Amino acid sequence: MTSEDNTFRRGFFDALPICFGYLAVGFTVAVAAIAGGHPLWSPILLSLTHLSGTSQGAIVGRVSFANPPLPGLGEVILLCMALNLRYLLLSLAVSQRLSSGISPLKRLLVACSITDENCLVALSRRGNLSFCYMMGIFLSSYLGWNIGTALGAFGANLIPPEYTKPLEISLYAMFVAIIAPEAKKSRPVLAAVLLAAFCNVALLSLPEAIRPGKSLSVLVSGALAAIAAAALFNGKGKEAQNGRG
Amino acid sequence: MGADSGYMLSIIFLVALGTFALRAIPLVLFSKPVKNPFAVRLIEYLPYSILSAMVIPGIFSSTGDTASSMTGFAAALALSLCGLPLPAIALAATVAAYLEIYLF
Repeated sequence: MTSEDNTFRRGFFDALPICFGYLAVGFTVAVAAIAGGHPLWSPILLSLTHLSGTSQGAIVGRVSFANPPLPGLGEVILLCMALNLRYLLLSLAVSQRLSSGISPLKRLLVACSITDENCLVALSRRGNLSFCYMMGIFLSSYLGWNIGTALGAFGANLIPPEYTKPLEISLYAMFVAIIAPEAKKSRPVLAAVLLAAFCNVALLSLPEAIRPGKSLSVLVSGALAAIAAAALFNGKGKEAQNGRG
Repeated sequence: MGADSGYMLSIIFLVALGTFALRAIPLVLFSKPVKNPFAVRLIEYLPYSILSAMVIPGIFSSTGDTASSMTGFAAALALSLCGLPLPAIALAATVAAYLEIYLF
């Protein structure tokens, strides 16, 4: 049976910092979406169905109606899948800590709550994770994320279009904010980051005839850089094994 | 915006489905832990390298002119290395870009 502490309420309050953080990040992604020419419903629906800052950010970054041509569906999907591969690992870790006897249907609901930050909170708890606790975390983060998105979407919409273009940088700043601290701590990540940037610029500088599309270029550069870093930095072990994405 | 709406809806739902699959499969299938250290490292580094490729050179065309985007980029880089929280960095970089455009 679940302990006193494994309640929905506890999960909800443990995740409150995440809720507020997500309020701001959801706001940022929504603002960038509006700046990129998305209709109001786009970032809102995106957030309702995703709860994922990196892939939502990637979608908003690549799909800018103000900068045609739009990428192909396949490219964007592939890009997001690559970005989100780490959910496989996070989900696995949570799965092994879940209390026993949780039905498949409830497990699907727990699946909806898998994000970097939520898993960080969940996995740092002692003992098993109850379904109720995970749902508490889920609601907290989901509310923050979507309220932030709505505020950002409606807020950005109030700004006259001629002033919204610079808002797009907030998305890239968000990416930098994710990358830089980790690159500072971890050599392999720094290497992967530099290599990917270099690769991407190189690919995009190819002559028109053989130049890959932006999404493909990002994906190839990112994949090659990560593979190279993973291959080169083996047995270092230390900073790398944290599951924090 | 009809065709664009269909396009956007497709992206949203397809990526949502795929992301959900990635989250759900381990939970529902009780798969064995990923033991291969190379694979674990690869999956860990992948988001960073992909995001990096998204930023460079994309950030330089994000505000419409290079000067303000460089300012914003510099601000973001400096502040994130100082350990500020993510929303503060995004805000500061955006403000820096706006200031560059309208003051210089």
